[in-house]
Amino acid sequence: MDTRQIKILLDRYNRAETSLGEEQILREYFSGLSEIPAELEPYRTTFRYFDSMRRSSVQKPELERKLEGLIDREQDGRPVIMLNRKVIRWISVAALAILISTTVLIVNKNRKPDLGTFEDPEMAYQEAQRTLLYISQTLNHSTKELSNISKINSGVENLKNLDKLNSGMDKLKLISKLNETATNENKY
Amino acid sequence: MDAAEFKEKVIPLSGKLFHFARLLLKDQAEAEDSVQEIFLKLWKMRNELSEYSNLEAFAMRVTRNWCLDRLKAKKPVYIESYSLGYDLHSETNNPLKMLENTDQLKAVRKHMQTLPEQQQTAIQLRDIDGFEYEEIASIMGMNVNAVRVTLSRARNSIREHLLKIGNYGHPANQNPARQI
Repeated sequence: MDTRQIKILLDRYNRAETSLGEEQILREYFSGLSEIPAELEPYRTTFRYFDSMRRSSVQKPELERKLEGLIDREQDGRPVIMLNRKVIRWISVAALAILISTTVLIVNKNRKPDLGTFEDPEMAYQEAQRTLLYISQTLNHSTKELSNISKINSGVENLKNLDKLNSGMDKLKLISKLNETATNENKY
Repeated sequence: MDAAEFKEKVIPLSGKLFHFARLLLKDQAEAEDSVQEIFLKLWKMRNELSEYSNLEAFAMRVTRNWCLDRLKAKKPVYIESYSLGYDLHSETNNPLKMLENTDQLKAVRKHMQTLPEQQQTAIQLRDIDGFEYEEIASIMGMNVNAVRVTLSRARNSIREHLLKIGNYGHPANQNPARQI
């Protein structure tokens, strides 16, 4: 194809009137290594740019695998959680906050006040006994409160009176018979 | 449409959808996230997919709408931050590609990014992806005439820009494109 025809095609190309086939002709013309008129150089650059973009827009196998995995999971009815970057960012912020607060807590807990220590084993024994005695006393005091639970039994005794409710209910059944006779009378 | 058919017909479109999403969102990571969500959406409507005669154009339309919604929801995108985000020539071992003037190609891309979204999309769909005018019209939700006008404006704008930065055939000269 000679330059004159190419120029005609380019005019139509600029007006977006060329078909895909005609644009293919232009593409081939500009991808060749032959000399072209200087005024057509901008077109060569443009078409080369498009070529390079087309080459880089090939399929992405790793993306396809990811998507197939997504579809499989979705088909199995397993929940699909979109771990996109925004979510991951939030999770990492939350994880960092938890990490910092636990570290602070642990550090604070380990910084106990100095309770002193006993050099003499006899004194240490006495001190331990005194402490244990104190604990057992406090424990006994608390268990006393629990003895009130036995009172619950006397309360349950009273509930037995509920049986009497049943006999009363039986008597009420007689009222339904009254209804029957009333409807029978209405029929006549 | 079952899983096998979906994998065969729809999943292979992911590369194209990804590049389209990246063009619109100007962000590689976000484009990848979006493509996953778009595919989940397509999968959920798999039963209706066979009704579309042109699945590819339909998927592109879904992608565009998704990305435009996403852009609307967030702060304005600063085009510059994306400008040279991925390498135009990662496979430099190809001797033919070495011949290409990468500075000028970068200048084209840089100028492309200053165009209105519709013009960028029109160029992408026609000159890179090779869609028919009717398909582009359906993807972009405009009529064929409007597509031609948009495409024509974009092509003229690129050419005029290249002529302006100029100095073709004289790489030794002071070339404004090099300063970008």
